[in-house]
Amino acid sequence: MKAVCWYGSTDVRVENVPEPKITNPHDAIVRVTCATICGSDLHLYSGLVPTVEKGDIIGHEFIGEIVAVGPEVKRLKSGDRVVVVSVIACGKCSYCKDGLWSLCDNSNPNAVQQEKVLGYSTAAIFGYSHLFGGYAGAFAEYVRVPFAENSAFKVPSDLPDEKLVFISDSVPTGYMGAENCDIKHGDTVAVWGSGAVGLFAMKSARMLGAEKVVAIDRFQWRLDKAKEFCGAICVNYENENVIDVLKDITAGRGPDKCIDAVGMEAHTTGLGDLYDKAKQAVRLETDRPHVLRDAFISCRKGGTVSILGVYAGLVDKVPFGALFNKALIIRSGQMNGQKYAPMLIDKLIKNELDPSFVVTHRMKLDQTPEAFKIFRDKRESCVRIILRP
Amino acid sequence: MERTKESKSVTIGKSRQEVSDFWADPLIFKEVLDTVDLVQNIGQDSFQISLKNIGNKFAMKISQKNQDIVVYLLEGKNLDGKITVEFKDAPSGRGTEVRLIADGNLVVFLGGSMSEQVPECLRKSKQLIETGEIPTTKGQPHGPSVW
Repeated sequence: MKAVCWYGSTDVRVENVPEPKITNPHDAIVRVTCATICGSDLHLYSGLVPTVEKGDIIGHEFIGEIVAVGPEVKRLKSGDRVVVVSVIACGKCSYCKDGLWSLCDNSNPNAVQQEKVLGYSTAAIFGYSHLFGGYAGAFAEYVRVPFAENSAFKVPSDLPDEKLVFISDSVPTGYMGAENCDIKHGDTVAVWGSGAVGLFAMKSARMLGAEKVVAIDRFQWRLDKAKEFCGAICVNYENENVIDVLKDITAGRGPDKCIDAVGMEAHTTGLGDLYDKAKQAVRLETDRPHVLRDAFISCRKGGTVSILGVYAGLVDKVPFGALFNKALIIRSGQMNGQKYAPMLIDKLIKNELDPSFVVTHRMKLDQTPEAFKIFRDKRESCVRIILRP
Repeated sequence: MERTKESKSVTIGKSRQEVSDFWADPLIFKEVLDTVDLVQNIGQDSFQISLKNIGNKFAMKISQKNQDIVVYLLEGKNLDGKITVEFKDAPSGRGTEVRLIADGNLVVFLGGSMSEQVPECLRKSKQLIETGEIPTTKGQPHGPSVW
């Protein structure tokens, strides 16, 4: 089968590889009908995520059809159309039972490796480095889905892939980022990043009762989407001082809730941008924490900063004094997609949610190397690229 | 022969009865250790263990087993030691705390250093007991290797 394999920084190739097989009793094999390049895939593409190995199949956001199941899979069968949550979780450990699926104790075969970095291991993720399990990813014609009954959710045949595929990762990530804010009526929620996840966080913040949503980005076409589809007030940080604008929008209070939907490859203006890029390039820090810095300073006293952009390791010069002295609440984590998928699918069925407004490009799996370039360079007003085998 | 001792613990989200029953069956070693090829019952709580590759066989005996503790005694060529598994209720209904103590010269049996293999052995037992399988990526597709 065809699969997109990682060979180094900015080097992904479409290769012919063997098809996956049922290995464990709770496995299923899914024929991928549609996948999308997530912003977090760019961290792999940029070579910033450790423990990706040459030849690894990448990709974690996808939908497809089940073609085989293991002997212990009872609730799914061949022919079922499923959207598969990107986090792999056993469903049996205490974390899964508490709804903290991304913290699963059991799904990561490389737990030892991760414990050395994080202290304790977390759940595995499809196609997202050996630190996160080393499972083959979904930019392929077929993918093996471990613990399939927990990750694969049946979806109706009359809804298009382009609406459903984002239930795999981006929509629940955005939703969890907003839910973690514990939004109250009248709240102002500032969201850094107007990529798909940021846009879904804005929509979710609206759904959960935010009065004002502020979108912060540097690309006007993305801010336009935030305004059009999420009713956001837009701030272009290349033209305005974010902290001043947020203070002004909230009449001096500051946003009640701040969401970081950017993560480790954030940009900023001026010398600060060069400083962190240089440190990251020579591995003096793994992540560029511009958004954390802005969010900690901007957020109102006693407010909440919700981090859903991906961070890999170490950051420098984060204003911890602001966090401490303003009594900020920090919420974070990989999304617990299994917790949200049924509710979000239901909203899609009822036409209360349509994530397909983020799709700007439709390409073939064969074109993935070019798709990564377009997505990384934000060419052609790109927000999200749909890939089909 | 070098004798070492390694002690590690894990919490398994199952009752003490279930967990101790699991550990009282020496077949668990075939599941959690890559080294074990065959476990044969040769008498009352006595077993013969065959190891992969090197064809080594050795004797294993259960000297104690109940809901608090299971003790395995191992003896053979280049191998001599004791594996003790202790069970305690975890607080707040969180299952069972399992402590595994490997004592002796057990590198051949465990397939590596005791400091690495004892926690790995415990982790696999937790995966197996809680989920019914040990997650793996063995045999999955991969792109061609390049130099």
